[in-house]
Amino acid sequence: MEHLFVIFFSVVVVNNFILAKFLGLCPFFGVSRELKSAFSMGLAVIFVMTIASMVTWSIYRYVLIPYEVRFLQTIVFILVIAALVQLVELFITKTSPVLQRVLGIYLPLITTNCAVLGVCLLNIKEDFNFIETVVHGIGGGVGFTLAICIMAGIRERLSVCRVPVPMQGFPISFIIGCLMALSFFGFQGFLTH
Amino acid sequence: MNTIIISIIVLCGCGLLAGAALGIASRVFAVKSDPRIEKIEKILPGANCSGCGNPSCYAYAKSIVEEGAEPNLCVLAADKADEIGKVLGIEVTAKESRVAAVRCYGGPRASKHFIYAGIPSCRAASFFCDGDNSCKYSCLGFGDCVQACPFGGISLTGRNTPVFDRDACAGCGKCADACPKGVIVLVPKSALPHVACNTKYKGKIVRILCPIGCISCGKCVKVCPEKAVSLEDNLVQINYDKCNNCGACIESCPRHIIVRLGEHEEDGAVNL
Repeated sequence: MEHLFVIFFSVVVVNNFILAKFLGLCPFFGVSRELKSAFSMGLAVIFVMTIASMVTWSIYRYVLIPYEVRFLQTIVFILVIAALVQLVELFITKTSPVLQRVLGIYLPLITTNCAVLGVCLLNIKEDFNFIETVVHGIGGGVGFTLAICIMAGIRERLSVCRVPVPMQGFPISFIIGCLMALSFFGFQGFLTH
Repeated sequence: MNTIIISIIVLCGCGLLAGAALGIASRVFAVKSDPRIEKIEKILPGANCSGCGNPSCYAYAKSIVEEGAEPNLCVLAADKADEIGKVLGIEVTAKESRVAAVRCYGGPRASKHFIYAGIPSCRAASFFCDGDNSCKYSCLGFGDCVQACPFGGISLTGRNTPVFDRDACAGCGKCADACPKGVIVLVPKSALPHVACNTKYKGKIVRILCPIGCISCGKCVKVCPEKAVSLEDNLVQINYDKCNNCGACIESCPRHIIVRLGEHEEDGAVNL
């Protein structure tokens, strides 16, 4: 139980996918203009990361290992994640219009997101079992949500600030991203195995 | 050699499986969409201005067909309302189009209770002691509305009262949403009289604060033949459903607060 918490905490703050591993930066800068849409995006990422972790872990364990083609993991995972997200989107459109309204436009955006692929590959690299994989997936999504929501909050404030012309828009966002990463760097000392 | 064949089989197998699953799913989970939605969306302007209250033109078309929303809410497609009606098979009457007008011409003239040197934005200024104008209901004149207008219909030189281009204005109301003071209102395009003051202070205080503020003397109320003018919260309100554009209220106002809408806009300057 304790080590599950360690995995979760580690992936949310210490090894945050955006701020420590620099994965999934496109939505981090693209969808962080408003807090509301950033939060929806975060929810979609949690959702997709969890499901993708579970499915890719199963495929790795029950297909790639028995046939000894472990080197195919990257390409198979991309394929599986893309198909999976499409499938989930179809399912949601049919069954839950409410969920579709919240997550709808963000789901296709994260089909080929590197953070999602990163979670899946890390599950394999760290040799997690199924439950650890699920926790790691959820944690990855929560960490992403945390980072993108903080970013959106700052950028909303920034919209009423005087920013020098050459720095307006993305340049200042990159600087903010860097400073956030720097502050999250302070968590690094937490986990000493 | 063997590894290559196995990897090809595994990869193709995964691909085929995923393809088949998606194919089946698209059949099983197919959502029937009404073909009328697409037709109406084509008639709508596609500007996604959200003046109708929906986030996009598609969302509005969908709400017309599925939720029975009123089909004449789009101000840009006002002349095409009957086309939408044809798609739906019902009679639709075009709605009177509206234009935005500012309810305060006194912003730059009202006395200031401090010198504001912060961010030049109405929203930012109004966070700080309700802005530097001593009348807290007045136009701050930094032009947040200018930036909000998707049609480029508002112009502003310096810190002044924004000037609205009646022809460019689609009546979407985005400027009204952007204004932190709520001094921008939407009035019918045919309306003639317009109250150019937003203050809710009593007349005595207004006299001190602003040379062109409404002092709620009530002359306009008495003179209106249609009883369309009323005083609410020390402020003149015109009911445009009753107004017949006779202009009596404009003549009666001793401080020239009720203005002719079209005229001031034409010469592009505040006509006082």
